[in-house]
Amino acid sequence: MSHIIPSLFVKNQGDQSVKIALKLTTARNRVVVRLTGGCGYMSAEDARDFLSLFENAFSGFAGAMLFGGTRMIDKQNASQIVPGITEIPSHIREACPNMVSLGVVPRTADINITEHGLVVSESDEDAYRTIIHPNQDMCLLVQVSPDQPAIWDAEFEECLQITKDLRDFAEFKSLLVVYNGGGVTEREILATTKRGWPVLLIRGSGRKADEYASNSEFLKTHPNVRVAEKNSDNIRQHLISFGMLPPEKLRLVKSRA
Amino acid sequence: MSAKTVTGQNGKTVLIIQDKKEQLPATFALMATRAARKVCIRISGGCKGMNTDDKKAMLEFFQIAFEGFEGMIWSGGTRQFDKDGNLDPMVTDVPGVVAASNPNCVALGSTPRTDVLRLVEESRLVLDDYGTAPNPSVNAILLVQDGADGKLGWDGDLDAAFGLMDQLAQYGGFHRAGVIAWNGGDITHDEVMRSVKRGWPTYVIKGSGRAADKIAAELEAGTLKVSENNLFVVDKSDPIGLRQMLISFGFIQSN
Repeated sequence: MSHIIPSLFVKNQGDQSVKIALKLTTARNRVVVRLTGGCGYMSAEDARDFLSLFENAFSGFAGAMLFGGTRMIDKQNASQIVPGITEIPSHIREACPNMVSLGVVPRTADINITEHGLVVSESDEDAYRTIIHPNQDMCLLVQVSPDQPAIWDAEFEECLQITKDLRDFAEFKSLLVVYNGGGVTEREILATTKRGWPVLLIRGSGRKADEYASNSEFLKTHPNVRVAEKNSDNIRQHLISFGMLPPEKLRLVKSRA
Repeated sequence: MSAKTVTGQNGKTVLIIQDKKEQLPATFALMATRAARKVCIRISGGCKGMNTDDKKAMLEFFQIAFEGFEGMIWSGGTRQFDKDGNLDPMVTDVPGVVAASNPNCVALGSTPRTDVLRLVEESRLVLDDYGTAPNPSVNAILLVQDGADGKLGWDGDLDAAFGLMDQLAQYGGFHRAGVIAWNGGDITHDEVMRSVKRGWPTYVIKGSGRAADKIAAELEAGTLKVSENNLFVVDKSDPIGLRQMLISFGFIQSN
């Protein structure tokens, strides 16, 4: 596993962080991918395969990546990781040393310091607890104030602001990649498409990604949204066409050099 | 093209306002990262006692020294005009002149708000009663103010300016920061000493006048109290000498 020691930042909503903004620009390429969605109703087979799906698709990635920043661990066996979309960036990061990953976590409750890590969410109904993911370059914890927690939407709202700053002031290209997802993901899709920024929906991943990928009227009125099939090659081709990865020939030449 | 024409990137000069009690705006820091190479250098000083020919020679000096520069270059962020509205070149015009012939670099400026901002003529923004204007040849200017009602001295932006270069070096992957002093007074002396204490390569241009000459003379006489060996003297007749130093410290990539 990675030897990265994540830096943890805490901020109130509405504040800016120069440190985080600058550290994101240390990625080799001026591109930022926001990975969003979920794993609801995912089959056991999907849960096993989706890490390699993205790892292969993003091979050679050297931009910034924004994601949920958490990990779910089994309550009975803390070494057992519950598959989730937030596991994807650390797998990509293992193979891509020139990228920078930032997890954005809304502080929706008090945080508990435990032997398993910083627990950000836990309920009696769930068989898992949610901790800050240990494998990321930086993690940004967002709250309204020390006494007032944030809501889950704060994650994508923060990511939208970071992306806007990178696009407007540092000449970054951006892409929202959507895999599965529910109500919060839907609000992020709509907020991103409204701004005219590029969006890639993974067809076959489930729920909201599928719903919008099959909505021909939505796709027709939003030319900034494209649909990729749930296979590495197809996702990769879309990443290249959006400028998130260099063209294959160029990449091969660079790797040989 | 008039001296008032905006020549910043994409025909815009972005103005970002910071209260001195607040932290540096991330948006301004991000503008610096547009540079193709992660190096930054601040041109400090003034033009007191210089005639028109001296000022023209100053701009040519920096044009020669900075040929091929691809980093972030910045200065005071203001522009002066003569009584006919023509450009009265100052040190603060150096970043824009360098950027004009080096498209991969980024030119920025910082300036304190020393008076109430006002609009004159065709809604043109000026910073004081003397017609000092935001310099339209740079990509962005950081205007530092002391609250809505307060006024700062001309050194009111220095903490923010050096704070930006500190942050670029610490978090933004910038591998070199430095200061060049041309002429100038007490504020320039302060900037030189701040840079020297940080261990950054610092250059004073001998023959340019006032503070730069005084520091150069003291350094050469061995009477300047600095323990670091990162302060260098370059003669104003030797832009190639400065260029070679900039190359040797990695500010400019050698061909």
